[in-house]
Amino acid sequence: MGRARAELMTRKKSLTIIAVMVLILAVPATAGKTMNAPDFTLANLKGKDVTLSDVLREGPVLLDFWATWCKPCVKAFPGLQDLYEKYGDRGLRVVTVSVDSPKSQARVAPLINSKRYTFEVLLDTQGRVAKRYNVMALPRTLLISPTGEIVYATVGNRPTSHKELEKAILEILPEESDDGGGVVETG
Amino acid sequence: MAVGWLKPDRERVTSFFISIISVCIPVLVALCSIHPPAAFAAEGDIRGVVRAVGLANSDIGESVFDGRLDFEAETGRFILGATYRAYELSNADYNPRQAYQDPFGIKHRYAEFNADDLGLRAGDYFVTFGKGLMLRSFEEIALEHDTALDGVLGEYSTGPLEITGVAGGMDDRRSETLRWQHNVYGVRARTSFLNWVNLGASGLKRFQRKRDEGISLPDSTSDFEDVVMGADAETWVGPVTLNAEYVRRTGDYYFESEQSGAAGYGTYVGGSYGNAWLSLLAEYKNYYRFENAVINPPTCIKEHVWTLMNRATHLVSLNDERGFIVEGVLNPSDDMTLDGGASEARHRNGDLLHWEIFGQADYIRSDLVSAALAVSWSREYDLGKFTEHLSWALESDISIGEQVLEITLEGQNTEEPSGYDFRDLLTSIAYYPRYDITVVGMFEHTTHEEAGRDAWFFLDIRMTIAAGYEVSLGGGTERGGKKCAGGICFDEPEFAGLKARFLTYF
Repeated sequence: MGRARAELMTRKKSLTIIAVMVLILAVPATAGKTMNAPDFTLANLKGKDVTLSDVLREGPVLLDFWATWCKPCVKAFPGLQDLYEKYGDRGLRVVTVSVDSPKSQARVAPLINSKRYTFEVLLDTQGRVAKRYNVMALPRTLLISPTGEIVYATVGNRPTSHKELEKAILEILPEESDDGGGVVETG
Repeated sequence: MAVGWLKPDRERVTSFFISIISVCIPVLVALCSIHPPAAFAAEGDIRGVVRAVGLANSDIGESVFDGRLDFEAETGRFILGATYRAYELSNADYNPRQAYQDPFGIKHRYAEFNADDLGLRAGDYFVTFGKGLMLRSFEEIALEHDTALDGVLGEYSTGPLEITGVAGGMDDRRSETLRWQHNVYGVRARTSFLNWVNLGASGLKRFQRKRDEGISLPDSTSDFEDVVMGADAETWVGPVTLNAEYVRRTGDYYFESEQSGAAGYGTYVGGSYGNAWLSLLAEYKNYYRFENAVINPPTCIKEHVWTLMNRATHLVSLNDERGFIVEGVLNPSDDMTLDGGASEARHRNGDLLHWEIFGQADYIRSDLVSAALAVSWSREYDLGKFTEHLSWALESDISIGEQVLEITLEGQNTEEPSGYDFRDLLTSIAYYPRYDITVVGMFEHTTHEEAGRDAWFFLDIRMTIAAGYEVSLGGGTERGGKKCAGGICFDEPEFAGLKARFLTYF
């Protein structure tokens, strides 16, 4: 029994090493590529359904996953609001997706209203959209071109995050009428 | 109690496929990255995330490797997905996360079909009925906790009516030998009126099997069966939002060593009001004989973002607790926000369980400087005696050119029922020399005589080394303690040694 367990452990370790090595070698090739943003429909704070593909018809979308209990997420909001006010009339749409569970969902509307944020806030209480966008840590922010490509993606909020976001937005906004613009990506 | 039990031998099937899929998935990713297949390139996508963590504990000379791949392939209306986990301990006795479920292999796998009005999913899934009083299976990645159901999920909508049906099971391994198995079968209907009222009704039949593998048959297995019925409503009237849910449970009841056929219930009522300068929130809960692994109802307590306050979070008893929270947020100016509130919880007989008063002031002055000051005063009661926490936190960001320094100071005074009191102090400094580098130092000190150490220090360097790649390397000692996220709390073990972390998306 002990020998069989040891053999199993050895096999697991071998498979793990192979899997990790292949992944580390594989991912760089995909990391620089643009990816399609999965479409979704979620309710906003007024219970109205909002579909990503409908919003994309108005322009590029800055998609931000957050939660009320996530301090860096809330600290990033003034920067997102600034970007929305600055580039909203040029077509930029800022859509934030709260992944708050039913436990903390009641805090979403008071937080948004009290700060007078005017960007769209959607509720993903089931966490399905977050899963589709590989949200492993918060906040996760993505810039999606009007053609549905993810042209910028980042995790976490650094004090200079919104400046990097602005660079990516400016790359995509002038080319809005063409075919989406270039790719800027960070980890 | 006779329970109809439908449980395929999943372990055998899973282990058969582990060897093949553990290699096939990464190879598939590699191939797709080089030559994307026409079907995916034209109308589908492959996406995922890879995370690998290595811990080396110098105190006891043991290590952990924890690798995880989340993978999803979408083409047309179909989605196939899996989560693969490679979690290895250098020694089975060294199990810092107390993980008793074998975490090596395919953690989740699923197939999904989505049409305009119909959604079907087979395999592992997460689902919530209402506010989570009736049913909630979910994943809290930060705590490595999930209650995924393995079975089928169907969703159908016609006009304003949405119908959801579930059938699935979950294994819950709580120690080396104790294992709970849960099977649920249920349906939920939800409808909207005039875009300002949502109504829902749900029914669920649940089977639980408790098995202690350390005890010989027939005493090792106990079966329980109950039925839960519930209704919920939410409405929006101008700046006011109101939510309510009531759920009643009948059938077998088990909690710790108490077993009976007594009914239980759960009630939640919440409301909020918000305008440009003031927001108010109030929530009420009443839970009795209601504990179950596949629910996750609102706690109606403040979930703090500050580490020390978070460690003192009240753990809600779903078997005998009622209480409320009220909170208000005031914006006296564009730069400043004031937040304050209180929560209380009692047993049904009126005995106090918990109360807390909290407040926070935030000041944000563009990109140059921001500051936050938070305080909390709370008591946790047990048979009339209480533990008292008085906590404070101060945080400030200072920007000098492109460089930013973020300083956090936290303190907590604790007085135990015996009268013994001690103090904890936590200092965290994050330095952002460049956009792609973060250096974080954390120092903690306690006056508690039985803490093992009186000081801990951990230094962590995080870097974006290339597009899509993040690595971090840290070393030192970390205190551990209760950690809560999304309403769920776990005990983090103390750590001394090195940590390396790798994360990438594709």
